[in-house]
Amino acid sequence: MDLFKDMDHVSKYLGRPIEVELDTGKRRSEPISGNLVTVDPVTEGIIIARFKHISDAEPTWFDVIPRTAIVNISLKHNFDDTCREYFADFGMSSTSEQSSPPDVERQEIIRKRGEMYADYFRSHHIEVEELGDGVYVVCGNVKLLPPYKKDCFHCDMPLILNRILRMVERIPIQDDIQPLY
Amino acid sequence: MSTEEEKRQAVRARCRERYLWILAKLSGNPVSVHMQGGGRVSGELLAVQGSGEHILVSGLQTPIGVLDKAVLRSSDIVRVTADWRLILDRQT
Repeated sequence: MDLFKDMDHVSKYLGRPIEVELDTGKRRSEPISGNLVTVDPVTEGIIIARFKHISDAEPTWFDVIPRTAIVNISLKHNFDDTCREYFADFGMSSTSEQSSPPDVERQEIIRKRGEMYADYFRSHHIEVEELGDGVYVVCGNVKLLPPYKKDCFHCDMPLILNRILRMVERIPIQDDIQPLY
Repeated sequence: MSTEEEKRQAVRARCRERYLWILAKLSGNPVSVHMQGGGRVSGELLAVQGSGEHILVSGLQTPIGVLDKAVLRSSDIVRVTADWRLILDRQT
């Protein structure tokens, strides 16, 4: 089966148990089994989910396998501990699929949190620019993205990023806005 | 664009989204990298290049020592394994 040439059929194999023969650089290829989570159309790599025990509802490991290491992929018909008959729920809800309406209250909390940080930086004479879509640029270099938590600050210069994060740690926590951490 | 082509594009987009979502989840978490030739190293996954050609790892533990930061070529990698339960526990 060549998943990469026939993306039409990829959706049929998603979630299904597969066996992947891997090129390990040794004489014999090594097989690995798991449920196919996705096939990347750009890099042609795949991600599989593997289970530890037959009684586990959630997978224990995710394996990212680059295209260069794949010798062959085949559907598994005999299930064992490592895979399930079908597995697709790994906690992601696709934005391209129909999802529940946005939580207005949560969005409001996030918006207030962003404004709080913007006001804090401005009160300390640090320039803050709002780009749109809720993105703020602090000090001309640090981007702050929703939902405005610690890992939502992005900057190419670690020194500046660390200074901004140290400032943020000193911001008092407000009851109606969820804490940063 | 024909309906069939639109469907193909939708499948490709969904697959790509899943791939990137999982890589984003793996970033910042410990991974085990199985290398060509049978070697295995471990470290914290920092980032994956958009083209997939290289991955950036920190604290790479190798048989000859620990590297603070390392860039690994995907062509040298057999698979990158992450403990999904550990990642979920860290997020809760």
